[in-house]
Amino acid sequence: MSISPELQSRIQGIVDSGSTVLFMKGNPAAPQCGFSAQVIQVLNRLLPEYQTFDVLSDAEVREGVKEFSDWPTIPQLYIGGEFMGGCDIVKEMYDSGELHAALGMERPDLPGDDVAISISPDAEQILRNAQQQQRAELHFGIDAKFQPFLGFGPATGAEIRVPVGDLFFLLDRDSAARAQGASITVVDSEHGQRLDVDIPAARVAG
Amino acid sequence: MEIAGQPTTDETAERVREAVAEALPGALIEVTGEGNHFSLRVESAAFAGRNRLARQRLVLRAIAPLMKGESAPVHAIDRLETVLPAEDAGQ
Repeated sequence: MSISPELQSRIQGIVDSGSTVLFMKGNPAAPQCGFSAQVIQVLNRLLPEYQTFDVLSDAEVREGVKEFSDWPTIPQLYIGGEFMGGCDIVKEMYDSGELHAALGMERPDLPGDDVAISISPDAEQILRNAQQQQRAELHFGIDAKFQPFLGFGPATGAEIRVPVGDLFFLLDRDSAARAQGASITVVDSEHGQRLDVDIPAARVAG
Repeated sequence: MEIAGQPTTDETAERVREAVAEALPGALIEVTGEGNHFSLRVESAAFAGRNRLARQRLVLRAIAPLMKGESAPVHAIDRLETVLPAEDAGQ
């Protein structure tokens, strides 16, 4: 099976539309598939901006890109016009440092035990309760735009384990480099209480 | 829940295994599945001299026909481990 020259050149045009291009389901703010969401999470750690193409918006590209890349699944990541792989490979490349290299970025050193994150007692209580319900590891991240992320899930083994109050946060290495001095508190908003994360590194970068 | 006319997870896992075995004769293949998501571990001498992308392509190309279309028996490969027989001990 092969795709038409028109579709071939259309997809090539999308690949060439940026230095990092992700074919995904949905968009970065609202991924429509778990695998696309995982790749977005990895890319967000490294890049404040990159191109995405929503294959759900275009049936022709959705099927065509599988032939184009000789890869049967979505998401598909291209860096500098070169096909990198899908979700599995992108995560492995992140953990091994190959993704930083492919992007021409310096890989942050692993911090020692000196990542200091503070948390207020009420915020700690909220997270402890949530963790008891979820029965999973607590992941904390700060992406390349200095947006904080808190979530639950299994450990990959490549994270850094940081004690925060009586809890442990799992951080990827790029987040750890941005997390020094971060503090988590509960603030009142019009929709009730929410967690607020203060990130000193964001002010330095800003 | 079984739906009439739809292959079971076990049947599809067997089809995945057969498809990979045909593409990579002599390979050791483990397929585990849940619903229409599958994980594979493939050990094959055919991976020698190939990087991760090329190794996964060899396997995925074999499975691709089972992944085509909205009602494909295989919706996703959650995990694909490709190892050389000699790499086994180190993994």
